[in-house]
Amino acid sequence: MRSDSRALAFIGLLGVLCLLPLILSTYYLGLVTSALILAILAMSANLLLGYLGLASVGQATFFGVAGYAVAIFTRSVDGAAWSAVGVGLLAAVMAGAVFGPLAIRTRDIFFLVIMLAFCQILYGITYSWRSVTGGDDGLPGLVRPALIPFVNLDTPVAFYFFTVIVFLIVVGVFWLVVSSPFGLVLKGIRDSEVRMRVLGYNVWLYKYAAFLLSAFIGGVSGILQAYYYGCPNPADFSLIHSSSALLMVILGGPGTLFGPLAGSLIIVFVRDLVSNVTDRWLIVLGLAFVCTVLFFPDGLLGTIRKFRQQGVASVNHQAQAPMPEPTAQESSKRLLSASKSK
Amino acid sequence: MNLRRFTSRMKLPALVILGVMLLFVCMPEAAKAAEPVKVGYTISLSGVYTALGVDLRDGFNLYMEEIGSKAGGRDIKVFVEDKGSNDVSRVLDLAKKLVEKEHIDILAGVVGSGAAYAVAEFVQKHKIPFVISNAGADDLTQRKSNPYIVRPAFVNSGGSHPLGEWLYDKGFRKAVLIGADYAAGYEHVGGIARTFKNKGGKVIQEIWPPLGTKDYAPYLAKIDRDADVVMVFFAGADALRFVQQYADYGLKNKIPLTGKGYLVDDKILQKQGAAAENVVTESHWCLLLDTPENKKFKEAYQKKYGHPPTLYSEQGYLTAKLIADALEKTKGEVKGEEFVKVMRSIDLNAPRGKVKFDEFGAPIQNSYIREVKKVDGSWQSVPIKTYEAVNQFWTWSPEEFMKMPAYSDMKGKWIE
Amino acid sequence: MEFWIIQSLNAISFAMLLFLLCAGLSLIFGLMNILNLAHGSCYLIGAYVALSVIEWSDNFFLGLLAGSLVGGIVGFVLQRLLLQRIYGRRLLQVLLTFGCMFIIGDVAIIIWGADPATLQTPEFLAGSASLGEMVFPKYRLFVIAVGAAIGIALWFFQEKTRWGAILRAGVDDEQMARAVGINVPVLFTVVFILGTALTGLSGVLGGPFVGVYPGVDLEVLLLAVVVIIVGGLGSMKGAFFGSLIVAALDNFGKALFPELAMFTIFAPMAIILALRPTGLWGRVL
Repeated sequence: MRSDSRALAFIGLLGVLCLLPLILSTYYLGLVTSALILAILAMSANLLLGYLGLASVGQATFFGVAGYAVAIFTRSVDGAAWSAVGVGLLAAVMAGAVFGPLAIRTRDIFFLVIMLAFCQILYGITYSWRSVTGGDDGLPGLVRPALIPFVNLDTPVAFYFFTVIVFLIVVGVFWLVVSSPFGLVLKGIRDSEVRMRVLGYNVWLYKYAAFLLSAFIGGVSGILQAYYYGCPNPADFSLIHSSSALLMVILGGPGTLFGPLAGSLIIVFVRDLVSNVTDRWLIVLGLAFVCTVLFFPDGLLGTIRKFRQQGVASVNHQAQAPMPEPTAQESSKRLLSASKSK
Repeated sequence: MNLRRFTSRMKLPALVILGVMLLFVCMPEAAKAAEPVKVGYTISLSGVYTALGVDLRDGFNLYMEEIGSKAGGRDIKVFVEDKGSNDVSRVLDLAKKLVEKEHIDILAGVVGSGAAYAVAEFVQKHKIPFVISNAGADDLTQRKSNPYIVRPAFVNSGGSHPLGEWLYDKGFRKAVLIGADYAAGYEHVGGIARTFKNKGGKVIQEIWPPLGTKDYAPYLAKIDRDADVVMVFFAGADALRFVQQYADYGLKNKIPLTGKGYLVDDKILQKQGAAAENVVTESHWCLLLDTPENKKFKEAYQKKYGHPPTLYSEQGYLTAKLIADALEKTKGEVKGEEFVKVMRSIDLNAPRGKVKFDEFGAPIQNSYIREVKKVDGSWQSVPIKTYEAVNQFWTWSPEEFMKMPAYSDMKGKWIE
Repeated sequence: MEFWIIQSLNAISFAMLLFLLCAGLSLIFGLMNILNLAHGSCYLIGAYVALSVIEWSDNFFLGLLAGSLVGGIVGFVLQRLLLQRIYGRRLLQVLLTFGCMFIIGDVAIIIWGADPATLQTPEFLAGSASLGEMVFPKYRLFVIAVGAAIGIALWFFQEKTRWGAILRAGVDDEQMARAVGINVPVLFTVVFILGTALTGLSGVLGGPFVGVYPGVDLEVLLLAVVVIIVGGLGSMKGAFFGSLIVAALDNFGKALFPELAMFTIFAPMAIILALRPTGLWGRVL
């Protein structure tokens, strides 16, 4: 019965997304497209935050690496389109494979800082390795390839639909993973690493696998972004980029399936609104951070769900809440107690 | 149970998403009324380039005010957008917004070069005239030129060429090159080095500290003391620190410091103070320039904003003037490539002097060599020599010039 | 020889600057496990306030006082009005300070504009001292002295005073400290103010050296974070020796291998993290 509702959820969302090109102008369709791309990036952060309790302000690492890999490969090898995509994904996963062992031995604040550092290192490399990365000019001129025969992705609507399809695939994969035994083990690790270790799980391996998957999803987003704008540049690695992704997760609700999308839609559209009124966007971004943390620490969807679950639980005495996914708040509480009882 | 689970799973995300969407669907699109000419002006009002962006905006607005936002019989409507720092995707988002939502006729502004390259591709695709108010990357009007660009600002290496010759003529022979380690650094410094070497000068050392270096001490200690001149490009906070530290380490009285105007920009010169004394730089505009146009511009600017203009204010002012003059000429008609042709054919009487454009849209303008001195109690760059009508290719032909390696590829290759 | 002496002095002066930049961050982290990402903002505010005060009074030391004071006030507001509300939820606290960084940076642009600025050094510290062929700026000698003095003062405070003992008790076992009657919330507030005031002070001292401009907050934060990661999060000793190591690597790296200048700061950090995740002198968590 769960697969039933899952299928219906997909169809419902698909319906909404399909209708949008009919009612939105090109510009707003573009905004939705970029919100979807950022939502995928946010989902990669969500996998770490919502299911492992690790907050990363360095997800742009994978995002940027994949985008650059696609552009560099397209320029120098000029391979068929799908091979460029493959190279981009491979690069993101490789970055994850290299950084993973260093990153996952740390926890909460240390993890946050080390991811930040990786991002800065890559920023430094792209900035100074001019012959390959184009330095601060980036690599303009990346043309959207014919990924699907007979479909010209150059039009906004076509690229929008392409993004929608990729997004839905990522959501599907994400859902399968987190509801699989693998996902349950991740949640177990988040809640108590020691317990899982005692139960005989290879905690390190699970964390590493999740980290790689997160890198992969971040890479998907980076490739879409590279094709959308046609110009990977050092700002792809910027802190504002990484932190926006994290904010989207927290805003939408860590550990929820559609939280990142809600978060990214809100950020992208609020930014558009704000830019009509003031140039001080960073104040608004900062306020969004502060207010989310103070008033919606579980995110919008998390808060609503919590409210609902309470309601359902009081009516329904079976109280077998199918998946009471602990929120960021609870998991960070646990982190606190874990570190206090060192 | 099944149904309830479905609704509880589906409703929330769908509601949130739909709600956000509806907000925007309900907002009316800007009507396509064709009366005013619409100009999009994207500059940096946040991030590291904020100081430049503010002046670019103020200069632009000053001219618009002078002409009552009217030219060629049509009103001019300006959309100012903050593009942040050199974040290309943000700039492209804004360009899209201006074109697809506001339906602008002309795009102007852009501070950083990376963004300018990306926007140049974008405008070519959408056939929108692009007036570059600051970004100086050489290839925008050289190897990657396109028929939609006109730049009433500068070309990075354009003003460097006369400085290199001037330094040689002054008797300097052995130079150390120091520049921020990015494309603009290579272009600004490279231009000086090329003409200096062509005359017979020698480059004996190249030093390229990263952009944003906090402490230049390790580099300063390395400078070859055999040199008789140091040629430098830094801008903003980097320039402020570099000039001060150069003086702190006692180099000021040993090896003369020269470079592009950004080194002792009017925004930082008073803060550098005595450390900047006698520094010789080149620029396409100076505050002390004694022409009627400059005088009028300075007075109007001072009156409106309460402080003197800077290089960037003048560039913003000229951007607006170029657009307005071209509109006068076409009687308010804006037609992509043709409008750019008109803009390129205009001779401007600018505060900085006479400005014309070459076939690539780059400015042909005066180049001023200046020296920092104390004038009436404040530090000023005093013009000491003027090179008139300097072309971006200097004395080379465009073909000859573009056959030589680009400055951005010349890092590390100046020493024989 | 001369090259090495000058470069070593450079490295030491840069190290003391780094130590001043990261001492406040380290102090706060050591007690509360809060990584104050608005740390760079305190530097920024301290420097800007000092800029205005020095312009008005023409007195560097008055600026020093004002800068630290305002740094402390920012810390007080941050800790009492915001962080206290989500007490005990560390991750959220970190993210909160992160948001504050964006806000403070943009507000500073509104107040002080966006032109890069630098603080005027006092008259007697301007210019440079010379010994034979060697020239060294006086102000840097001053920074070395102040850095060393603050290092010693902090060490003395932590190890030899009653407040220091209370502090160490709070660090080692918060619950036990409460049990023996230490008012931990007050202790937290005091330390937070002390840490941010120290950062404000570093903004004033770093002002003539690094300058102050939009974006310096993030740059300072990154430098400070690198140092305390190398030295070990939450250890004052680590912060001090971490500064020396990072500054020496950066200075000699740039002087000897200029092509690697972009990485002289971050590469050592990555290596140390790989070998010793808690830093050289860090506590094992």
